[in-house]
Amino acid sequence: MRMDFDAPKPEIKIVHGKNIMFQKVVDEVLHGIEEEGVPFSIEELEDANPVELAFRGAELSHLGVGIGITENEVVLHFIKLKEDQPIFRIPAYSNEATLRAIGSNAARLVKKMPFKNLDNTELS
Amino acid sequence: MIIAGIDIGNASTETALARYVDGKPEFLCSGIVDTTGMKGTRQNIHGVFASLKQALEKADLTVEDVDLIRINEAAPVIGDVAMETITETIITESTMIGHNPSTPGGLGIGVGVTVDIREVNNCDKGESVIVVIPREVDFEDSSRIINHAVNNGIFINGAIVQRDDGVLINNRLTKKIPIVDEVSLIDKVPRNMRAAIEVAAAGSVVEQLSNPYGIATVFDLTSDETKQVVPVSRALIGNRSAVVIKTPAGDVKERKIPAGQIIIQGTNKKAQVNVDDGAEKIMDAIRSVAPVEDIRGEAGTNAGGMLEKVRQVMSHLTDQLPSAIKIQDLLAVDTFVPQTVKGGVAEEFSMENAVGIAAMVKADKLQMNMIAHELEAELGVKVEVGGVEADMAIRGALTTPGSNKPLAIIDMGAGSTDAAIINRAGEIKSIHLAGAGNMVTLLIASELGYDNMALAEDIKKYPLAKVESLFHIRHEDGTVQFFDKPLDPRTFARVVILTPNGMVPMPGNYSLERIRAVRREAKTKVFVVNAIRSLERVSPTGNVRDIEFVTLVGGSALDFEIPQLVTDALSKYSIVSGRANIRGVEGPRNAVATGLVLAYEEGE
Repeated sequence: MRMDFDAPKPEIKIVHGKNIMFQKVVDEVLHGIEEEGVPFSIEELEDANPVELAFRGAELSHLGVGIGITENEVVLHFIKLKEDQPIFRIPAYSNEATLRAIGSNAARLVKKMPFKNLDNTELS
Repeated sequence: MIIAGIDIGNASTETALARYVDGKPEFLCSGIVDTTGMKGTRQNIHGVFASLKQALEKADLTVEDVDLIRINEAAPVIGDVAMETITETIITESTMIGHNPSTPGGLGIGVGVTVDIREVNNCDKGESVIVVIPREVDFEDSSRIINHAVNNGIFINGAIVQRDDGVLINNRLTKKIPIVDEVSLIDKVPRNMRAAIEVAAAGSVVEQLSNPYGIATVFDLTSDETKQVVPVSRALIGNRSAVVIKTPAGDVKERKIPAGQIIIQGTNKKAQVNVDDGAEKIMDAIRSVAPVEDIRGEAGTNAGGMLEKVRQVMSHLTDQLPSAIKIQDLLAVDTFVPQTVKGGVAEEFSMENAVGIAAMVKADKLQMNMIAHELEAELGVKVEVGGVEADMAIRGALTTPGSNKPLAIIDMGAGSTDAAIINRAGEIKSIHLAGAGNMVTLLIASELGYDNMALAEDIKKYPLAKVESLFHIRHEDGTVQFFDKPLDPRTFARVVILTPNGMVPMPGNYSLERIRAVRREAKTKVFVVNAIRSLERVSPTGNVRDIEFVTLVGGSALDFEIPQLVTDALSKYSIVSGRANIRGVEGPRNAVATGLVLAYEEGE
């Protein structure tokens, strides 16, 4: 996936903090989006609050969907929601399936498909 | 004096409370609670108490103020419903995965021998292979192994994957192959067998494997073998992806379960009909021998079992010998039931034919007197059993503004559909038929494959909507409604039932149109059919057209679409029909209870 900030491409924007030590978390989230077949791009920002990162992502995204990732949390946000009320937030230590599911849900928000269940990924 | 009329119905117990002044009733208020226990049994008494208490509290009265309680001589009919599938599909040794993951990978059709991905490097050069990828192997390893094997000259033509990894694997392959993922029971996929995989482009459906000749082409089948794969191809129709595996002993059968015969004994005639012939034939047979005395099923068959089950339940409830229970009406409805294919791999299901049956039994009359006695003893108020239920219902229905004799009513309850007609002279004729609200619930539940009857009940009662974004829904009629606050993410992009307690998301992938069609069809199959059937029986000429005015009463007349469906169907016979409005305030409820109070005035 090529990073291209100028072209108004429909993408989900993933925003994570600088100097990350949690590449594995980011990768799993990205795999979730990729499996659903929705384009995405990644950006690095200086901000420690995952909700703010996610909302910033939603603002940057032409689809209005952003994911904020810090070493503690993964947050899914949508541009039309209040800034302090994201759709989903899960701890970064969640298992692989849950991390992927939040990525899938970002894509499903775009595709208008029912979300995967983040509490029990076996169920969806 | 103060009189309470209490109607014990199959689903609800209703009270009408009135004060008689100078021989004229003045209605005070009414009460309604769920019927406790099966109608006509001792357990009803709790419901009667609760219903009466509710009405009394509204009127600021106590039990001591009541001078007389009149309960209905409950039409001694009890309805029960049963469902029996008459076909089933069995796969001996799994031979297909008719599976619809939301995101399969790749595109096209691939044929090869199934091999576990961890053993793929043992394959010979030039061999055609379908790799089977269990949960333990992640997508990065799988794609690397596949790319490596392809470079070594092994033809990998497709993949069957347990996890939801299809697109991820596909994106990392140098040579694209069709991939079916989310195959839950991957251990059941036979290894070293010839298999074919097809994945259609987004928006299309599989074409080769949903065609019996397509499967024959892939596997070089003989004409006899092609005949056998018809159920496989049929089950794959409409899927975006499919796998068919040919095992030497593999065999898919659509088995017809011998459904047996139904024997209808009329007063003068007798008829036998095969359940396999479908609902229409059964109903014709019932019409031809009317009036029906008893209906039995052929012993040792499904039909026999189904009717005997109803008989057992009834005999248990009414404390009579099963042989004394006479089934006096039956409503048969053709339906489809999604059934898990026996021997399937990914929980495939196929739509099997089924017959739903509602039966009506005449029970013991004495039970009502027993209830009256017990009530009288406990309350210290005189309790009498009023007139016949249908007569009472007509009396009640005539309080609807704009109605007059001659008038027919259709009482659409939960357990049975009753009809009565009153002519200008005041003579009343009535009939009870099997099949009502409970039958509709059963049909909805079985056709959508839900075990949850409460959910089916909700589908029956409330309209649907589709949640289109976090902020808006689209109703069944296409109107859009916006909300200030974001909706529950669990409802997002789903079909929801708009219950008074909020939106209930529907499980499964049914579209709104499909659920709506199932719901309306179930209602039509039961209530429209029964409305016409019952009017035919009570019409003085036997012809529905000779009835002019019909009011609809009973709990199911409260439904948001049943009255319209019936009104619409009856208008074709130039009948004026509509929902009753008892006493101008109660709607279609409380007809019998009101009638019980009014009948006192006439000294009955």
